[in-house]
Amino acid sequence: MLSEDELERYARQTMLFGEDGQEKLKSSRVFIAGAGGLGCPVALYLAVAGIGSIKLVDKDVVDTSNLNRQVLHWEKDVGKEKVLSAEEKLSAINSEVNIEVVSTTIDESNVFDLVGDADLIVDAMDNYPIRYLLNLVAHKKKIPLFHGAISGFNGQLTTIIPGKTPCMNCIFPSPPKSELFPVVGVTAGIVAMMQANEVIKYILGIGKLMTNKLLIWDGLSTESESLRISKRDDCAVCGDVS
Amino acid sequence: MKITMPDGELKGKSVDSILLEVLLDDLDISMSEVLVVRNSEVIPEDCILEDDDEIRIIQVVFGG
Repeated sequence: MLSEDELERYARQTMLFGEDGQEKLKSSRVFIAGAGGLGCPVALYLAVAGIGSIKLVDKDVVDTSNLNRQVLHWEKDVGKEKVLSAEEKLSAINSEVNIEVVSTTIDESNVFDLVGDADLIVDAMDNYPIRYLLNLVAHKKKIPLFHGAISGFNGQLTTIIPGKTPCMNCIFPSPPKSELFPVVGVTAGIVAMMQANEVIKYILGIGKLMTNKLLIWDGLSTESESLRISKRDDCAVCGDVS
Repeated sequence: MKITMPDGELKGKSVDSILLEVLLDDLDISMSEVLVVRNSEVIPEDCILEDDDEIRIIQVVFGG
């Protein structure tokens, strides 16, 4: 049941998808892996949209070089754990949202428990080995994974629904090198907004998701394209998921 | 075959037919670093390419 304050706060959204839709957002539990360039804007916009519970995991502390894109971290936060910096801003912008943060490295030993009873996973990581772990857990738990990645003015995005779409291992069978990457903040913002938009549509059950397609964003030409992607029959992760 | 490289450079290559992973090897490109697109579809490394194919090679991005 939405409170009077919530009805007022979300008035422009309930005009779109009704109080029932807003209740769906409120009862949702979202796991966000990473509180960096993608994780900050995803968490921010899901919080203001009224997602009921957001769990944010990251191991890093805020560095001055993060400030061009990691919009929840401010000058005063340099040296602070990213998840604590993010929690402070998210709670301040929407105190109705339950924010849970964990400052740790996601790895094979903890990923299943960290995701816990989340309804979905947002991939806001900066490396493929952890993306593969998130993909594996998403398939074991049969919950969707919202993938995004960025570099420079470029980005990519897809929504993975276990049993229905290709998975991370189908699309990217071997990991590219992870190294220091150049990026402008707007690229992170654009891709993160598309990820958050996918999450909201999925929860509400409206619109068409970016499934079975990989969206490629080119910020220098201000163009995007949707490429068809296919499952691999021999995929070790999703080959036997139906 | 017409090939658009990740940096936008256009290349031509005459082949009867060639396995994608062999082509990438010839071009000195690691499959893990790129996606290869033919007719708006990402194709796997075991795909056989013909001389009249047009492909585009896109850099995979990894940051977050």
